[in-house]
Amino acid sequence: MARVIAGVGCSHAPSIAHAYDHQLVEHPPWKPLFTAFAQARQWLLDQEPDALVVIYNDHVDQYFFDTWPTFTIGVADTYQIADEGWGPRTFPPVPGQSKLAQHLAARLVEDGFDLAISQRMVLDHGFLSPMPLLDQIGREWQIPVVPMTINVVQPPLPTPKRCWALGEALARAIDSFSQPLRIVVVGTGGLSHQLTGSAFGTVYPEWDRKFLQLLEETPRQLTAYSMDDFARLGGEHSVEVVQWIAMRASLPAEAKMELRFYYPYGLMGYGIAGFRSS
Amino acid sequence: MSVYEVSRLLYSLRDPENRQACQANPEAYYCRYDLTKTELRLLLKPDWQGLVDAGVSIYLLTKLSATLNIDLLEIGASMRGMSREDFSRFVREQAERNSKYAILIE
Repeated sequence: MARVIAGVGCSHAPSIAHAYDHQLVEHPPWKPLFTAFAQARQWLLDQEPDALVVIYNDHVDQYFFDTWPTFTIGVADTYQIADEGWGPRTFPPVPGQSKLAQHLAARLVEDGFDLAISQRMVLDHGFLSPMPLLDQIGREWQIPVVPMTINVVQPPLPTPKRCWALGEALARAIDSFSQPLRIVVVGTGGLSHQLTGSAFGTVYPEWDRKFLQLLEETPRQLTAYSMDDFARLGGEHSVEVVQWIAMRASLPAEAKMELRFYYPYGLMGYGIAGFRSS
Repeated sequence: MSVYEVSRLLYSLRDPENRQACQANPEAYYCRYDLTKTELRLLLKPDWQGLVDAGVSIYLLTKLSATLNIDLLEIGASMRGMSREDFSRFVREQAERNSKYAILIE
């Protein structure tokens, strides 16, 4: 039987990709972030995972407003790199784990989550800002992935409570897979940021620290918040933290936070958290 | 729902050929879509906050900014009604003020 051995939450801002692609990894303001990602990668690979389930949100690169899905899962063998307007980043296609993905899709639907199923997905910065830093050595992908998305773009957005329930259902679906795979669930997005209006660029570090504390100590309490609460506390675009909430819900309650990083810089509160199941 | 047309236009800029056409003649490119006069005016300026207020997603506006080679600092300054220099200073001073909240990994 497969099981969730660990979880990672991390930011996915395009600035991470920009700094990485422009060789700014050693540049003093960026170095703390990339040092933390390097540590997170080592920690993740040390868990010897067989597959990663990566929960992120698309930014109108894969999906469009003709039909915007609330929850999706990719069931492809490989995934292509999105062109978000600057040309696609030059990574090889990302290997999928379609057998696991198809099983998860079937069990999640059976369990009450009527996800949209994607046989073709292009991965945008929601996936690609952090994942090369966590899942590549050189420029080679190490661990196959199952991508999932949660809508944070087209209102009405799913509630944090529903996203928590998705994480719990994901854990049950993983547990019921017949092969003894070791799975790490990754949730990407946030933390605080606001990309419109008169508060553009405002970071909310006190809330970010509180969020990380709640995620570590009493994660279920996060389901008492609404998306509007998150938007008010961490900026409109910080609602992406539901990806972290779904990740945390896929882990046992007693999971230990072994990795923590927080860095308010530029337009963002950048965060990384790593949890081990036991 | 007309703002949908603006969204469709911006979504098309994921294609490099469309970006080239848009760079060569923005107005002609915009006029391929069934826009209102107001929408055309917002795009031609471009009025970033006006487009957001009209219901356009920031994640589509970044495709236009990529096409027109305008960075996020410029958009942020415009949305805040500040000069680029003042917005840069705000961002720098905010980072200094917030550094006490950092949890770093050595």
